Amino acid sequence: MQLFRRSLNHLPLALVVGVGGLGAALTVGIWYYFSPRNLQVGYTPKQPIPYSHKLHVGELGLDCRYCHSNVERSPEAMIPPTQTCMGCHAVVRPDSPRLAALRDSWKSGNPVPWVRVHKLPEHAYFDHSVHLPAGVGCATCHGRIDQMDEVRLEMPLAMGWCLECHRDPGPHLRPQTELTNMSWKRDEASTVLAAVSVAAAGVRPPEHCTGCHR
Amino acid sequence: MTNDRVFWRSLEAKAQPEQARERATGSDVVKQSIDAPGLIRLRRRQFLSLSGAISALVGIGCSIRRPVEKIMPYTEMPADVTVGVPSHYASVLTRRGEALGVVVQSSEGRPTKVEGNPEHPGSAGGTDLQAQAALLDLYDSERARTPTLQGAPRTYAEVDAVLAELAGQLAASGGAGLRVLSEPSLSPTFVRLRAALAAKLPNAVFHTYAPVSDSNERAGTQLAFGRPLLVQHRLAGAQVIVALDSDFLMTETGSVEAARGFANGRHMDSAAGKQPNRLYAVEPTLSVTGSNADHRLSLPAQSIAAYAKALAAALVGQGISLGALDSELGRPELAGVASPWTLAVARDLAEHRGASLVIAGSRQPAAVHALAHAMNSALGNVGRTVVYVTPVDAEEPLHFPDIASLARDMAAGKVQTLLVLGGNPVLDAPADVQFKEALAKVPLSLCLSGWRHETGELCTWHVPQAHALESWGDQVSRIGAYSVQQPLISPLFKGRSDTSLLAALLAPAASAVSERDPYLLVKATAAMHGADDERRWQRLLQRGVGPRNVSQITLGGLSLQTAAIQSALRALPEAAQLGLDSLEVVFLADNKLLDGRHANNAWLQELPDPITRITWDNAALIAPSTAQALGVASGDMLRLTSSDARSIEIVAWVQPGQAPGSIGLPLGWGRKRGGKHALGAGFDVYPLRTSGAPHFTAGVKLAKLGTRYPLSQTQEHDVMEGRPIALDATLDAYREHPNFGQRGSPDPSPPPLWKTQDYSQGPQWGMAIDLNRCVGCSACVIACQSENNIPVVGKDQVARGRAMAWLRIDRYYVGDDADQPEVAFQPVSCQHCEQAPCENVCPVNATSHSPEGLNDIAYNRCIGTRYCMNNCPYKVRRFNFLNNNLDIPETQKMVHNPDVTLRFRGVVEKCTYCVQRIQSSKIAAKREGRELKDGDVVTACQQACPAEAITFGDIRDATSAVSRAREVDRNYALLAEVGTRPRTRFLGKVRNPNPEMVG
Amino acid sequence: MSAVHPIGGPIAGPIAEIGETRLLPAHLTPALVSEQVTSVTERPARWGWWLYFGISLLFLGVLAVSVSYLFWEGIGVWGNNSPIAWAWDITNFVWWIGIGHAGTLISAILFLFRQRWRTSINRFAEAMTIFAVICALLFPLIHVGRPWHIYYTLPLPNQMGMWPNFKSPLLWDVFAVGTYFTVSLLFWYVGLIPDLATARDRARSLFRKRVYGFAALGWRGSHRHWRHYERAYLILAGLSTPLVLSVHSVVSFDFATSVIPGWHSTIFPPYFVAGAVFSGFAMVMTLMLIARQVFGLKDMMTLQHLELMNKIMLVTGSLVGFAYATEFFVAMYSGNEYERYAFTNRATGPYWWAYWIMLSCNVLSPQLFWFKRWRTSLPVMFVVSILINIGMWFERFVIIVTSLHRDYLPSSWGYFRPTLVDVGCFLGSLGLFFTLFALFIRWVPQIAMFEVKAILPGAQPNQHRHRVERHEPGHHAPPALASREA
Repeated sequence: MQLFRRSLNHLPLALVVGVGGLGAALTVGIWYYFSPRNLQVGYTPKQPIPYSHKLHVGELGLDCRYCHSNVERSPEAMIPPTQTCMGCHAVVRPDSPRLAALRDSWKSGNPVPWVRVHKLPEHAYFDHSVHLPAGVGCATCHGRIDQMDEVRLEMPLAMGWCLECHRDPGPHLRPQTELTNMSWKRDEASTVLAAVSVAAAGVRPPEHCTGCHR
Repeated sequence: MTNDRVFWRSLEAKAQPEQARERATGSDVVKQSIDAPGLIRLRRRQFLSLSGAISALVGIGCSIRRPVEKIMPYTEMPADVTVGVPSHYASVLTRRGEALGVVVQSSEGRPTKVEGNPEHPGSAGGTDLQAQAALLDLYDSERARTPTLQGAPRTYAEVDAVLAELAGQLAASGGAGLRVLSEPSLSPTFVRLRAALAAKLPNAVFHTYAPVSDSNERAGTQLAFGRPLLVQHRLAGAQVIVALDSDFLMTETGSVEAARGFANGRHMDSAAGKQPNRLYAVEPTLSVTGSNADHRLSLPAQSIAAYAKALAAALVGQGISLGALDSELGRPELAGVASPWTLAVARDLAEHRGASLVIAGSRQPAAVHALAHAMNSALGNVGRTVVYVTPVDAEEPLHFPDIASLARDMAAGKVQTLLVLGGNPVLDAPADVQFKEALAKVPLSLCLSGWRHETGELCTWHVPQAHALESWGDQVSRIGAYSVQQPLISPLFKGRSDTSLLAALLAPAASAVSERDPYLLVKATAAMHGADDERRWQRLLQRGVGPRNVSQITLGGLSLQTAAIQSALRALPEAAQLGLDSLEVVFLADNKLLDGRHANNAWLQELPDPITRITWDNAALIAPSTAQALGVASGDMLRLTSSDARSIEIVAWVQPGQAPGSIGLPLGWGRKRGGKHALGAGFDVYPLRTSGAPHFTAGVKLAKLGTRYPLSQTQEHDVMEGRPIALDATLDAYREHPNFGQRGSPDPSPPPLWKTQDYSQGPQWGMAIDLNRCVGCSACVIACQSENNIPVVGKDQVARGRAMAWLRIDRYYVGDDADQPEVAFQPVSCQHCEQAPCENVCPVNATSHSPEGLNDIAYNRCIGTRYCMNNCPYKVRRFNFLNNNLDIPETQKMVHNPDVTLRFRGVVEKCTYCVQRIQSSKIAAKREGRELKDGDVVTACQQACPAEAITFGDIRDATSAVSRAREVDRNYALLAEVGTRPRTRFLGKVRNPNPEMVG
Repeated sequence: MSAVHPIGGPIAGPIAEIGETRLLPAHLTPALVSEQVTSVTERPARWGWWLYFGISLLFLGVLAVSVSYLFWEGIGVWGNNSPIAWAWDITNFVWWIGIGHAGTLISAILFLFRQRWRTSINRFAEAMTIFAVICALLFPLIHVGRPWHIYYTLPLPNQMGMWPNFKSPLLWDVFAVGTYFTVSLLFWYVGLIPDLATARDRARSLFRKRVYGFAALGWRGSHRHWRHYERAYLILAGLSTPLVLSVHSVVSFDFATSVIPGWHSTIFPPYFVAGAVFSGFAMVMTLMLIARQVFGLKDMMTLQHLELMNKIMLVTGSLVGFAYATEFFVAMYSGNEYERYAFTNRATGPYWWAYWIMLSCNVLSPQLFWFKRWRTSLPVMFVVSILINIGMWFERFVIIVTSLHRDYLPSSWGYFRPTLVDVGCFLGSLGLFFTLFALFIRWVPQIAMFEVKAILPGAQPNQHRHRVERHEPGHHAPPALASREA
């Protein structure tokens, strides 16, 4: 009784190649597609208040630090308190229906439940206040916020992605004056500038575990 | 809805209008306590537990979106808050008779770390273990949450109503039938209010009681100088110290300051350095102080008086006359005690007039204290090594007679109303006064206490007491420094303070806020003591210490009442004959729980006792020789029966250094109420204690019950097996071989197998631990636990060898006489080896070396092979065998340090040199565009150490404190012969025995 | 049959002068071999097998329960602690790995040395190897604190920019044991093919035909098949041989490269390999004696086989004994106080009993085999083989636990007590092993029939050439020894 036809003589080879290839493909597939680059980037949750960075930053030209005022002195850039919003909106469009939630919060004292977009793993201790002096601009990690109506996750925020910069900061840094400039592009001159600023700032990003994990 | 639940609703961060109102009362910090980011941060530490699930999800790719997370910003930004940056507030804690100035870190509104306040004379920047553990008491979810009437929950409104009514009645009757029982107070405000109340209610009687107190000290000064004074030792200046049953380094009042002074007096920065001090300890039980003594004599407590007399007589022999007392003293020797112990010690004292010190312990009767004062003044020490201070509360009565009289009156029905402001008399009042029975005869009783404990349960009313970190108050330190007790958070369970209760009786609800609000009352007191305008007040809050001293130091006009002392000495009872059928028991203030007030504190419960290394229990300490004679072994259950037929059952522990014929009984254990940790831990010894002999008594019979009781220790092997571990040398040997530290085999420095780290750049972190300064108090251990979120595993797990402490203090017995051992302490945590054996063996690179010389560990990379633990010669790596952070009560979660990840089960952890502190300091420096400077980084253990035994910093900077410490000739690396190149170095201990008493 | 017998090679009979004897009884014919071996898989199983299978399944259940509980609660349900972070888990791992070795040794090395007597036992031994390695692999997997992250130990591309630590002996283990398992499996299966074909050709039911037919991968027994087969088998044997040495050497590095007194020793690799072969042979012996009784295979597993194996055990056992002595000597001679203490502590410390069990089982008991009487007595060799298995388990226990429980700092000395779950996991792994074995002896030809046939008198080409020409279905045997000698 013979199950195998002669034509199947190449089956073993095919199997070896096939299984091997499949394994490789699987590994690479998981590595690439199951990565934050694919799973996280593009996250654009619905916010309780349709706040538009495009309007406030892109068109009105507010500086990031006007609202995220902690960014230079604290690990957390801080979402502004209702207070800050009301600073303007007490007079600007005081009764726009889109700001109802804001006014409620101001009356009741209950915070506005913003949905977090940029989230690092809980065991990664990121500190805004040390990245700014080093010359890391807002747009470097947050993308062109000034062009977003709703805030969208632009960068994968994965460990490997952080390390790219920590291993070779130079190309990613910018002059202190341009930190909050969304549209800043590095041309040749400014590369030199950046290079200089790296040397000057003595930027030595940690690459060891406890640089970020404690 | 209790405040507690509100708080946790605020996990979804509901801002609290009522909190905002409380801000108006001046406690700015309150608002922060509901800060949202902080609460979201709390969840950071659940990461590891989630990681499994997350990786699973990703693994099967079924969820490409993480669970939606909300950010809750403030609605209104508090003035002094930077989200994500902790703020610090000066406050003060009571530690027995001393005020301990502290600086408390507040992370987004919740206190997360207690540290010593360098400005404060009582702490000088150091702390003790109870202070470090205070946070866990604060967040104890088992604290009383609501007032109760006969056990039924009531509201604070009802309490106020009752108090108002009571105030009315009392005002009418002039306080007839009112008794107020409080603990000894250091608070001028409290004393002020009490005086006012006494004036208003002439018929009311005020009592003071604490089971462990400085009552005898007051009696002693009363006897010696005719007025109650506090004794303040200045150990730094003392060359020769004689401790008469005094554990001044651990359980006595002012131990933090004492440890600092003692260490300074002992410090040697080189073999050629100044002469270190010499400590003689005469005591019944091996105490921390005794462990640090150069000569230690174990003597039953009842014989200490006789020894004191013999010593005084010997002094007279040395030409140091005690005036009229000389005739009282008898012969300069004591049966059963080697003659040098009187003659040589006396000579040593005499040779150091003005630079010597005789300290009498709080267990010893007034006469012994008086005799000590007499000796000190004869030796010309007064004003140099000892000063006398007028107490804040001059009216404080002698505790034991006082509580006895109170109980008598209660039993006789003379008491209509009893207010118990703090304390737990039902548990800890002397057995013979039968406080419990007496309490039943009191119509209306109100108990103020943090826990609904033995007393709180039996009183008509129980009112939750606010924790020191929750309420306004003030305290005066021994030498009279005035400090304000600032609340760090609004009372979690809306507790009240003793001050506010007194105020409520004093000022009817109608009267002005200034007379009722503790904040304003304290502010008023502060004004009397120099902080009389807003600026000075703010400065006081900021520094934590007032501009000038409250009570002045008294030296002039002190004359010894020799006649009184004479009669007192005459009245001293003869030491009873001790034998196997008539033993002495000594009641000890417990090293961890003191009188039992910290019994529900899991950190303290799990901390091994500095001497016995027992966790979660106390035991009857018996001398090896006595135990042998009685056929008793450690772990045997015993029944102790006193001469008046009171008896207790307790487990035996054979303790080297215990005086033969004497049994040590640590107080405060075996609680019947007061929280799940307090319950069933150890054995209650109060039932053996009587007002007649509250400190020690003879004639106790011991019987074996024939049963065994399991005890959990963290260290089961007591000797060094002749290995070079905790090194020491006598002064002469040290002067001869300054480098005795290197006596271990030399560092082999094997050729590296692969490219070694480059340590030439940046700061290179290192530590030095001076065994000659370390007194073994264990404050550092709790500090580490608090700073690094180290879990508690419980008695059973400790018994299985799974204690989690990153920093442990090894205790070894040296010498061959089991009844008179020498003791060596050695704090051991990760040594941060430059050639770390643990790093090479980790298959996943979870632990690796940082360019700054730290032995890093990334918890989330660790898969838990435990290979690193095996390969660590110091055995400092800890493994989460079970999920130790399971079911932590919500309130207790607030104790966690937001800057340190909470570890899930299956992960190895260890000392990181407080890397979170290093990083924040570095970032701060970067932000300010400067280089790190020496002292910027202070590890938790270093900060807590009252003796400044630990130095930390950059060893590349030759001028840094740590570099200099590491170069002291006594330095050595632990197990250098293994070739690990540790970054932590030890400085060997120097013992300074009296040549006349050696051999 | 004349006095022509195979052991001395194809031509000559046994040379009486040098004490050669016949290896297989004369009456054995290829048909008989096929019948005896294959029938086991054809006849309905005897009650004995069911009993054995049932008990094994029971223990397998114990494993399932223990491991589930372990994963649910954490490593804490074991007795492991600080300082004894490794205990029964790694003990079992090393023990199982060691047992595996005999299989490879018998099938590969004895094959290369042309030891014909291996033919009756190699199939058995190889199967044991596979199953033992499976049991061994179980323990590293379950002993980690966070098993769901175990893939961190594999060099996979990832988003963290992290790789395993290639310095770590544990990682070497992953590779060494992985390779070992793969090669052993291939080796075993390739060896099976001709016999599976025999089973296929004897099969009556269509189902059996298909199953064995598929497993036999279309083996027809043509000359080309045999030539390819021989070559493949030779190559695999060549591959496995170094593995016998490498795997347990690498395992021993886990200890040898550490700094723990009692672990940190250069003699570990040879010492571990000797021990591995020792324990492996003991296990083969135990299993064979059972199978021999249960399935009546006395003709092929003759007393001579057993005696030869006993000799090997005697040698390896003495080697192990020598290693113990050397360890002690080195420790004492080194003058290193920690080393010295570690070894005196082994013999006299709290775990003295473990040490002396190890010593008496491993070193003393095999000494019986100096005497032919005991070497050839079934009861004796059965008892001794079991003693050796016990002893070798204790060897690992002694090395791991007694070294760890008292190392450098007396303050951190501890004591290990196993819990029920420890025991459950160990017994459970035995359950797994014997369950797999039960299935093996029930469904797979447990003796390499074709190899046995090859050393039958009948297989001598110079006498029975006709048999070579005429291919008899159902009796797959190499056409001529010539091809095998090539």
